[in-house]
Amino acid sequence: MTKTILFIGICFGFSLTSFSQNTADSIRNLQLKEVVVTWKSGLDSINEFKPLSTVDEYMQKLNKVNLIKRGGYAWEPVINNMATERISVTIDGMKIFCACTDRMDPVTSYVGILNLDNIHVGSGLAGNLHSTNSIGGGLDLKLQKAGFHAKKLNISLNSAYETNGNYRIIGSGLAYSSLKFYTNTGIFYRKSDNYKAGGNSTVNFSQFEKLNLFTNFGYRLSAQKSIEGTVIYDVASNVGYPALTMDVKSAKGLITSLSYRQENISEVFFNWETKLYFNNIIHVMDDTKRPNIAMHMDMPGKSRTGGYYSTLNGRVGKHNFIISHDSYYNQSSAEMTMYPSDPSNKPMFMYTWPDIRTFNAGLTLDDKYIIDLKNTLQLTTKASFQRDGVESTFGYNTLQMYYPNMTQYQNRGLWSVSGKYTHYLQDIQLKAGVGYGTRAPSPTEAYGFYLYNSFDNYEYIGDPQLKNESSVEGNIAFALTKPKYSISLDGSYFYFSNYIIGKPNANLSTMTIGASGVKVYQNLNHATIFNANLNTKYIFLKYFHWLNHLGYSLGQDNNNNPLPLIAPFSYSTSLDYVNKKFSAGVDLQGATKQVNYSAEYREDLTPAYFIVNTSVGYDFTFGHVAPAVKIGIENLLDRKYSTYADWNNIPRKGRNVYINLKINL
Amino acid sequence: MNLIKKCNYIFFAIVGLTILLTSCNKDDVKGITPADEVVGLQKADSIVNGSYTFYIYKKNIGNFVVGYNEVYIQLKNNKTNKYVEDATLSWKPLMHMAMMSHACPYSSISKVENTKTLYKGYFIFIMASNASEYWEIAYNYTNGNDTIAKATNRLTVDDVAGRIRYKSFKGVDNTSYFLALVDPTTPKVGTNDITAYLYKKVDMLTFNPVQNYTVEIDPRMPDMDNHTSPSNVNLTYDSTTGLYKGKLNLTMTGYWKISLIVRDASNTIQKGESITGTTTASSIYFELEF
Repeated sequence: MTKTILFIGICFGFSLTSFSQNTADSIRNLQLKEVVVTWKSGLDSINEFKPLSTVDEYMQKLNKVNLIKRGGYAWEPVINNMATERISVTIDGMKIFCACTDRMDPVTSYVGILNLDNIHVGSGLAGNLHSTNSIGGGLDLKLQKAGFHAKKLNISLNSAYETNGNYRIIGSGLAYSSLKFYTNTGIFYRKSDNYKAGGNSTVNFSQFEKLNLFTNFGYRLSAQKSIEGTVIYDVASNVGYPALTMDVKSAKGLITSLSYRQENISEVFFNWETKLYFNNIIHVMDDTKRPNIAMHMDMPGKSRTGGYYSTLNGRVGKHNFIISHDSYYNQSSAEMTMYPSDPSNKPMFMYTWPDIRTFNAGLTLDDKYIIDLKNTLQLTTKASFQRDGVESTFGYNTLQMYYPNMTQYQNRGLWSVSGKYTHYLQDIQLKAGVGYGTRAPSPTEAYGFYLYNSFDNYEYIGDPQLKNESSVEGNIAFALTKPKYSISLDGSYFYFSNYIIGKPNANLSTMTIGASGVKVYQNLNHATIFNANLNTKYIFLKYFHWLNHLGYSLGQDNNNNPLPLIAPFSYSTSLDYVNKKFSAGVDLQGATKQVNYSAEYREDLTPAYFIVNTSVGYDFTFGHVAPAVKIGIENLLDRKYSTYADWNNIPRKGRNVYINLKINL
Repeated sequence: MNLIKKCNYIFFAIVGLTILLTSCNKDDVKGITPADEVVGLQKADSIVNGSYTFYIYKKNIGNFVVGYNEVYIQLKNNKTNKYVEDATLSWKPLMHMAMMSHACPYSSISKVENTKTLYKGYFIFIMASNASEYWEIAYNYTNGNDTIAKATNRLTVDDVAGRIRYKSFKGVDNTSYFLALVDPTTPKVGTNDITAYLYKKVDMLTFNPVQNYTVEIDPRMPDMDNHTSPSNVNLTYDSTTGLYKGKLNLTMTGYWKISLIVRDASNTIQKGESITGTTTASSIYFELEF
């Protein structure tokens, strides 16, 4: 029997089955801002659009999250039209930072879909308790945990195939729970060749391969005390980036954590968690497969983060409070060696991230005051101390040519405060919030050196003497929820001071052959970003779900010119039929043409587009072993299109037929 | 009781450490020998004249080269077996060619700071020697008007095989100029001190330092689309050292070509072109590679 399981595991792969976690609290907010997307990858997979999709494809389903694409893999999440440097991405509260100077490896790429229980998306300054240096919001990737339950072993096997790109997915895992001990363990492998855009045109260098190994475990020391641990090892190799001039040879991430949890401590304190974590990312770019490159380069990068947090939850009367202390230390280092076309000349070496070190320690206080059944007031504040600088003398000497007065290390104070008022009136929920927050410049913005941006064709240099960026945020939301339908409308407005963005400096000389110029990060006096969303849901004829989304955004700099990478007016509508074992769905997504594009950042007018996806699924059951088969078609009309968020307008996937197979043992 | 024990340990540790440090200091104070003063230098020659020996040192192994050459000298009195600490030394370089002979730019000889026995000067050789044409240096040790010792030796001077650190050119004033790079010898990424000597020819035997000119620098990387660095400081004359001094910024390792423009005291360009349009380098330049 064991051999059979092993055999099937190898043949099909298997996925980790989640043990349901209660997310009732989140569901209430689903129509509002703190979107929590949950997938139960195992049992009710039939309800999922595409169970074995990537984390990226899942994030794409979230109205609050946009994704910047540079290829078929590792998309960069954007919240409220703010990307990596303005949002925080954590894994179970752990800080983790990408190792690639060219944003080829957003940290969401180091986890697999079946590592995850859900993704918590927080919007704005109050977005995420564990966030630091974020203004736009936060993503917290919550890991799968079997939990302490009655003894149960669950093994599920998974495999999938997609026609577009000859994409193969295979995985295997195990979930075991008991009252004393639990574990989730698994392995997952994906491989795709180049995908095809609409019209059967192959997008070269869009291939990827990814292996993900993970384990979580928990051990209960006593009724109230437990320890938990996580180890994730993720290797992506031979990853193509058609929008960039380079690919990735390998991106390796090791993510580890150990936490101690104590529950029901006293009348006041009911939960206390302390977690120690360490993660290490090594990223190696590769240009050897590209034809006609002007110059071969080696560009390795690494990012290591060690940290801890200690979070205490409590309640006094009508006050639900959280006190959290967190601290981390990050090393981000990247270098570039260029090999001249004349081999008798020596290779050229420089640091693009000159061994940047960041230490940050902060204290968060959060209080949710339930005034009465109808009114809730939540106040959150975080203050942190940051010391950052360049450890490499080589790198320090380099930056000093540009900033003779800079110091090797510097201290910054950061803080944020936000308040949110919620009013419930029968089926209606009203929310209004205000906040103020600051963020320190990112390693790239402060210390980056000659980072080539293939989008605007400029090279970017950081400025260690930048001021902190700050923003005032106002947001308002309205939701009406009826059994048969729901409507929600929300809007947020950010007014930035000292907005950090690159501006050309004509005195500086380019390095990359053919680059238009050099930009240096600067503090703009001010900038604004406005976002508005309308969501509706209608359930009819018992089995039909009709969802609509409209989104509008506007981003402007201090001269009222458009900021780059701001979403145009976008819409989506979907109709799903869900009836026990059978499910089917059709959805249409589109956007109007991008009127407010930023020519300064070499954006062009992205034309209007729409695409249609359809999917059907059926759940076959044989006794207690339950294979679930899901078949679907994406981009049915095989349209060739790209969106505002597609780097250098690379076209997205054309028609794709997929089949997902899952067996629960 | 325990506490007292601990205190005792600390006390002994401190006493021990103090003794250790003190003895270290004693070692440091010992005298510097003449041999210590030439540590790191390579002996190029030794010439005996009467009861004196001239020891000639240079920084690198190998022959002298066309361009800037730093030369160190120690003078030993063989009778007393002591090195001369207050010598007045002079020298004259001469190139013996088939039909004629000429000198080259060179310095006077001075004592190296913080040494007792070491003297220093430089030559800027303007051509290489070969089988029939050779450089000869005449050394003189004098006391007032009396010559105490003199010696001559022949030097082999090679053309530089590697990167260019020396240029001679004819200015628009029809004068022959000789420009030699002194520093950086080991360039680094970041800001480097750049120094050079500029001489002009008066006659075959007289080469005089040029004062109050400006040497404009424009460092470029031919391999990187002629990338340049910011905030370079042109070389200006420093009357105390006779050197032209500036700041050279290098953004990465590799091969750098430093285009030069030499302007005279009235700001007229004597030689060199700006890099604009199709001009990718000046006709006079230095090269660095590291």
